[in-house]
Amino acid sequence: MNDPPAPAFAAIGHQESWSQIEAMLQALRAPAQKPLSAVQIRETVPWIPPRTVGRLQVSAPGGIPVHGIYVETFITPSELALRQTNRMLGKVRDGIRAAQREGARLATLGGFTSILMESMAEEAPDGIALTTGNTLTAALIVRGVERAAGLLGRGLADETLLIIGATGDVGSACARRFAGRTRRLLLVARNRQRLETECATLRRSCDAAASTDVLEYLRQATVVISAASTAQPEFTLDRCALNAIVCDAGYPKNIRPPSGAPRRHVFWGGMGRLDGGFQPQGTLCEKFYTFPVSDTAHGCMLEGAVLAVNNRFEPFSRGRGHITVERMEEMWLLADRAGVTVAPLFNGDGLWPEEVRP
Amino acid sequence: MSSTYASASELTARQRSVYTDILSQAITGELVGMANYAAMVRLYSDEESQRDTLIRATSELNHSERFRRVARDLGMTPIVNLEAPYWNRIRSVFLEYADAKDLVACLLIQEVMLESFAYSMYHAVADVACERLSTIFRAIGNEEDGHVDHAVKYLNAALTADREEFENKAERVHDAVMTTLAEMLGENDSAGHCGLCSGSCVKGALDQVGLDRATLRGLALNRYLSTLDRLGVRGERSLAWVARLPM
Repeated sequence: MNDPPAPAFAAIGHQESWSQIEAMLQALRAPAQKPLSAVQIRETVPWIPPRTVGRLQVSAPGGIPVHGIYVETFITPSELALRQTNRMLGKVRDGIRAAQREGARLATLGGFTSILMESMAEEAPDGIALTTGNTLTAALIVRGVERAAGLLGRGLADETLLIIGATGDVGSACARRFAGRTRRLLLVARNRQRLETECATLRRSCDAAASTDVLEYLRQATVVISAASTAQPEFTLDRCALNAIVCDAGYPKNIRPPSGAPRRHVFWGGMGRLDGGFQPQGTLCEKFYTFPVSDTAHGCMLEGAVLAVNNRFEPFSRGRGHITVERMEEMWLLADRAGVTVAPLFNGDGLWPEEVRP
Repeated sequence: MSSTYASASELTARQRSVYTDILSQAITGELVGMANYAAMVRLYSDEESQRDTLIRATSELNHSERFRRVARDLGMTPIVNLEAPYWNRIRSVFLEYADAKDLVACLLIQEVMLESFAYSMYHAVADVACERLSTIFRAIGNEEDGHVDHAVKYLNAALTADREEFENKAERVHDAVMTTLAEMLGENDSAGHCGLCSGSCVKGALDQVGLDRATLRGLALNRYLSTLDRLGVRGERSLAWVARLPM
């Protein structure tokens, strides 16, 4: 009796910053209560088991609403920074179990949860399909770069594209998609062997070069996709070419435009917007998961909704390095049917001026 | 898990004092548990459940006796005080629900809240204590684990029958009991002296034996929330409850 509707999908994730976690907890406290201190929050949050913190519904334009949940793993920024892998993996598994308890048929793994599961190559538990969300993320990054070039009146065929994290699931997908569509492709990753293999394959269809040193290529690149997820940024923007388009596609988003020197065009990549909006509004999630554009979410979080709306309860994105151009196109069609589009471009300072100009 | 100290004879006077205060809490808590189970007997209508509940009351008494024995063997003199302010407050809340013949509320208090607290504290102590103390705390901690299993089945059925009513009741019980438990493990003592520590508050000296207040509190919170999850309480609801707790 009076049970919430069983969710078709679950989005499993974590917060990028302590301020988001603080916003979540403060929103739950009574207005008369003294706000929690930073120490109190840091002492408490790591112990909270993964759990549903939000319920939502999405629907294709004119379609039947599909119910979903957001499961917060409470993987903390400190655990991420210290790379406490076993502890974080335990939380991811508990997050999946929380989604299972609710009856979700599909779970999409957001942020570092997908990175952890990619490398572990674990089988999904019975009754729930797991998808990393990386195909939609990659597709949204591609669309975002195309949108940025369009807004700035530039053609990608003339650009030198640098992909940082080029051997990762998302980075390699972007490299395959942009091969032959830009003037030159520069690839950077930490694992030299994987990088050389990736580059050799791409060289068959385009002009590509590879390095393990970001700074070697940074000045040459006119477009940068940073798909390496690290707690600290791999470079500072003053090392980039003037007027470079920089897609911050990592997690957490940590590349900030230099203050007072807006000569590089930074945007948060992989962000999608749900045309029909998330329902209901005014939920807890809105207290800590907010962006300059409403109804926006990370692609990895949206992939579960897209698949559920399309009745595709399957591990669409799995493992590492399997995202083909065709799979991205297929995902894009599914996203289109679910009313998911690339979000207007923004960064930590707000919406791009080019997005608001008439 | 390995113990920090192999033998009780290696303990410093300060460490012995800390363990004595911990034993005071454990013995008093077990006796409160015994009294709670005894009061619950009449809430069951069938003989089998009444007998099972009496066995649990006896088991709690047995735990307190085992803690007393080990304290005596180690030359420690714990304080046993059922009128200690925090425990008395919890016991009073329990009795209100027992008088109202509210078995669900009583089970939530005893088998979810107090047992979560006991289980996590006992295992944390077992991980750092000398062999003699470690063995007893771990053994009793494991026995407490079985109590929760029994309650989960009954409480889950109550939740399935009417989720909204169950969760509303659990919230009321939480506010009354978990607030007190949180204060016991909080930074500051709202009730003044707890009535069980032999000197000043033991919380400030836990580091002497490799424990700390925040970790004990975190472990108890984790266990409590995980048990609520097993019952089927919505995650967002129980999160809101714990977010309101005193820190």
